Amino acid sequence: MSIKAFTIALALLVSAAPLAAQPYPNKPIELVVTSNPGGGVDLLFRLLAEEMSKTLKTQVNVANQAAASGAIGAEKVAAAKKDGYTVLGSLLGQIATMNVANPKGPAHLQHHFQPVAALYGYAAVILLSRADSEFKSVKDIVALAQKKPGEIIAGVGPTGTSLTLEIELLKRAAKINLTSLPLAGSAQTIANLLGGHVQLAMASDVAALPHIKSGKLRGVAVDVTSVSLPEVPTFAKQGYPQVNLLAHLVFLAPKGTPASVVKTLADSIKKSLQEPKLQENLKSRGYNVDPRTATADLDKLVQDEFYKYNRFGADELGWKAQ
Amino acid sequence: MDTLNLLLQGVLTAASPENLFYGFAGVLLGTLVGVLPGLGPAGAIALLLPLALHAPPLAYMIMLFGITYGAQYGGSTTSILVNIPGEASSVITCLDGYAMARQGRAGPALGIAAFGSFIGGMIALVGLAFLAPALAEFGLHFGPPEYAALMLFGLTALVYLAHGPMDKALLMALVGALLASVGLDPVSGAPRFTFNFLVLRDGIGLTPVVIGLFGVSEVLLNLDAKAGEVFQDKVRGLLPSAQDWKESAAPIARGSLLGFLIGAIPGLNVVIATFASYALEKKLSKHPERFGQGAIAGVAGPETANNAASCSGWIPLLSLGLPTGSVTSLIFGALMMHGLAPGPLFIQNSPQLFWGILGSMVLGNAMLLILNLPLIGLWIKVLRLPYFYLFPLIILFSIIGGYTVSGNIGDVVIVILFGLIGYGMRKFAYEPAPLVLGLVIGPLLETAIRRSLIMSHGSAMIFLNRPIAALFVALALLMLASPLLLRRRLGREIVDKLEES
Repeated sequence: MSIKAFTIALALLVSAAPLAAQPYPNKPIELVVTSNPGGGVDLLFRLLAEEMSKTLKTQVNVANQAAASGAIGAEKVAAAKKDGYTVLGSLLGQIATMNVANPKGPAHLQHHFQPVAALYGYAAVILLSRADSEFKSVKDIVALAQKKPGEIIAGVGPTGTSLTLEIELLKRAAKINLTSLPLAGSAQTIANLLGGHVQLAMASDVAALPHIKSGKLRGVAVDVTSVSLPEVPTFAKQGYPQVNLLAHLVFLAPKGTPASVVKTLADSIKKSLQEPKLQENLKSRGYNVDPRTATADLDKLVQDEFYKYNRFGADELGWKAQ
Repeated sequence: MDTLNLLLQGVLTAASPENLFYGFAGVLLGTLVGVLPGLGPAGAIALLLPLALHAPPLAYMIMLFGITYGAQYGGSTTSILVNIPGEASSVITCLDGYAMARQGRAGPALGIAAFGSFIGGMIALVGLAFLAPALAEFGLHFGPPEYAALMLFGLTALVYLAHGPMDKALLMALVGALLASVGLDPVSGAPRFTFNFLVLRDGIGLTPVVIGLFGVSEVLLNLDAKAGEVFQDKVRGLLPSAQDWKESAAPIARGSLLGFLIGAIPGLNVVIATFASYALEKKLSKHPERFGQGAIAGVAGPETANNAASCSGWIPLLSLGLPTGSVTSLIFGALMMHGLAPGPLFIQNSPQLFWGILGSMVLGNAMLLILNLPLIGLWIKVLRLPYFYLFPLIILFSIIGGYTVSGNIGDVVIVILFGLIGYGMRKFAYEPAPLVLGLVIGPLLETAIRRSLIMSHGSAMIFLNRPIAALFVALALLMLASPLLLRRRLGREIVDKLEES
């Protein structure tokens, strides 16, 4: 290295030091995502973080902390410095179910977090049947279930997720009895439906799409109109508006984070989501882009979420005490 | 013929400089995470996910796949050298691999592990190319009752095939199954034995337990060694001898087949393939008493089986788009990031990607063999380190390994705790391997049985009135009854032997 280059490098290093006093953000931001890497929630946060890195002109790094249904990640952010460099990216319902089941437990939405932004109804949950089966609509299912209570088996997701709870809501709304078979998630529910071990399956619309396209499975109903499968009617359209746990993704900062920092983050999220390329990217992967950043909207969203899950017992939400 | 052509095309695609570079980076990284206990392919792929948005799709996928099978090569290294499995799928390699290292035969053990992995990987790859769609369809026939029956058969087979103190092995398998029940109930979601510790909600992880039981306890057991003593200074041979090859050929062939079949059934752990192969080799061997004392067949079979199983494990994902474990889910996510959702039409719609990945596996396995053989000389030097350098290093890597699993300090506590438990177990001659098997199979068996009974509203007939399930139950019963039927013949054999002597 020449002396000149060395001096320049040194000068750059020195000039970097006063950056600390510059306005937010001036160093990388850690986005703690409470889902496993590679899944649908994680993927959306990663695509968004990439775009936010450009609008904020600093790196936004995704760190996955899915342990204990997200409770450990949520606790970590709740206890982090209130400077906007550690934020939580999560399914709102994931934290809300935990709070509803155990209000005194760790990391409470209203006591420990400041909502920054939400992605309203980011993805759809779909009720599937086999393409060669008699179940073409919710009505068909209800009719048979009334005749033969408990005989129809529905493959559902892990306890406490929409994949399980929405079937519970359907049972209550239609006053029918279906047998819920708890499986590990969309891939397993679809595999069991393809193999004929269950007659119905709950899955994410993105996971179901290729199997509907290949002609093996049929979409019976969705909780919210799906971006990738717009032709599948909602439960509401088929007479059961109660069957909807509309899932939202949220960005949360620790409570007490300065308002200006929260605004910078929220603006960046809004601006990123207006980027045509990202919008296209998200839509082609089946995500619904409907951001909410106004404080009043967010507070109501959190309120509604508590109301939504209050209908269920702690054991149904997967947070039963020992 | 058509398939061979397509595979050849794939190899040519994968041989482009860019793809070759990414492939090499992948297998190198895979070997590294395989060698390091704790950090596995899932962790490495998760770290590389952000790159997905910048790298070309095929090259990127070639790299990620390279990590997964590279890890199977690397996993055996620490098992053989220092008795810590680099991956859970190399647990069983500790038994004979480490015994071989103590006899100064670490070189042949490492060599046969590399050759076995290569052969197993290539055979499974050919199977993958020709049979993927058909096997995927077959896999769908396995619902909860079929899994339950298969697990029952598997457990019976392993117990029946095992020699040695059966009571202690069974006891350890049960302890493993009991430990596996810690965490959220897989069916109802209720927490069990978590004592309100958040870290225990996800259960006791396989990796921290394995690191503790094998690695930490090994160090504790050796604490009475004299200062300055080295692990092994006489090293006999770097590569497997002709005799070694003769003893390993059949186990490698059987391991390939067994690994391929077990891997193709969605949801079965690679660990199960290695245990099955070990048990099979021990049963078929003319000298079963040498197993555990450094029998090379006990390294060759399982090390072949794990690579074959990890290769055929791609079948459900690639031909149906159904991820079956944490690594396949990550690869699924990576494909999604490129907008390439795998599904039933994936092979049809993205032939270049599918065959390119398969082609890269041919090249990657060859690269791994070339990479691993010269490394043997280097690894063996590690054994010349005096105890007082080597042991703190083992403890250090064990603790780091426990932490990297999920970034929780709770896992480090589990590593240390199980190090102490493992020490006690080995002092009283309880083998840790059956405990690991219980930890793996316990939850699979439990969920399968409970899900089956939900489907049948509590009737156990569900295991008998479905053909595949009934077949496995029948086989399990037959195996249990066979000692009774064979007793007379065995009795005569013993009498004959006594008369001879």
